[in-house]
Amino acid sequence: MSLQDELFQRAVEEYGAALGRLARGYEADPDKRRDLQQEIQLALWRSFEGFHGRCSLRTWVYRVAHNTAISWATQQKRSRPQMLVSLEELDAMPVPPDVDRRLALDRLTHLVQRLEPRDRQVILAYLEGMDAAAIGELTGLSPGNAATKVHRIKNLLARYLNEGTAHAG
Amino acid sequence: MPDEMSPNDPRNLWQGQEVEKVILTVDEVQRRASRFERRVRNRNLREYIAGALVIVLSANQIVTRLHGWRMTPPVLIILGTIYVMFQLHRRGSARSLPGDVGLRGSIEFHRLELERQRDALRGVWHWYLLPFAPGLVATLVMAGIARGINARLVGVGVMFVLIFVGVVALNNWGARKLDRKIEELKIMETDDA
Repeated sequence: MSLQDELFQRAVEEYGAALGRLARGYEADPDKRRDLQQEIQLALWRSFEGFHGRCSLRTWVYRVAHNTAISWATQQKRSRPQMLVSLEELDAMPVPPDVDRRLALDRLTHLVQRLEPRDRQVILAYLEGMDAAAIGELTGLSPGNAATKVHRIKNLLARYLNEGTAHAG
Repeated sequence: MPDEMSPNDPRNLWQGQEVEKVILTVDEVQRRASRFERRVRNRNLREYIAGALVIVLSANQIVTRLHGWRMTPPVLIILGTIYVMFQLHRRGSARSLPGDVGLRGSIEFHRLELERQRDALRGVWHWYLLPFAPGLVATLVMAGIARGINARLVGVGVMFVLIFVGVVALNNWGARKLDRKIEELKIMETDDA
């Protein structure tokens, strides 16, 4: 087995679940989501030809996955246009009141899928447990900008999830 | 600020969700990669065959039916087709993702993708439509000389112009929309605020 194949196998074993969640953030339709996951894995396998240990495996996997998903999202947007908003616009909107605690995940997924790709990659990285520095490395955002985004995301999520559940309770 | 340890913490909620795990084996992924490359090769082949067909038909007209200045339209169409085929080959539209997909930060990658789309929209008319324009104009002029200018000929001419202008206007409109997004991403890459 070549190094490229080995790296690919390691990546899908270690990050398979995270890649599934990432695909969910970019694609609501389950069939298309499966296609996207396969597309990401194909891109990963190809990319490992030029990996040469230039960064950590995690950063590489997330970069390739996000970049592939962004290409996917921009292509899908052309064929199936929908209204996407930025973090700032979403923050300014009222929180819908009819939310049940059990639907918190659906609400979170919906929120992620509504965001412009540029903000979606930041929120997905945050939800995967990355800190501002790692998000900066992944996205190319300056550290200050990444920290500001993370702060805004935390507030937005708290408002969306807590207000919704408080209302339901 | 949300409580990071609470079960309702968005990170816990997100990471704890059930997702369908789609894992391709190495064999499968290799098969898919070659299938993709084959598909791209076939698509390019179809474009070259279509171009070759136009060239053969135009050349046939030159050889069998036309003489002197009447050969101008098919000659121009052949030249336009050769130019478009050369551009198709040079641009290698066979691309899926660039080779540096793992090296670029995702904001920069997103910006480059949008720039590529914008440039394709702005540029397509002058390498894909414009090269055929001299041949089409020459065809109309020859038809006018041979049979006189009539309403039908004028109608066809106006239709060509409208289609051409419409395609350019639509593409420029799309490119301007992308420009705005590209600017926003550039600000995100540099702005520390």
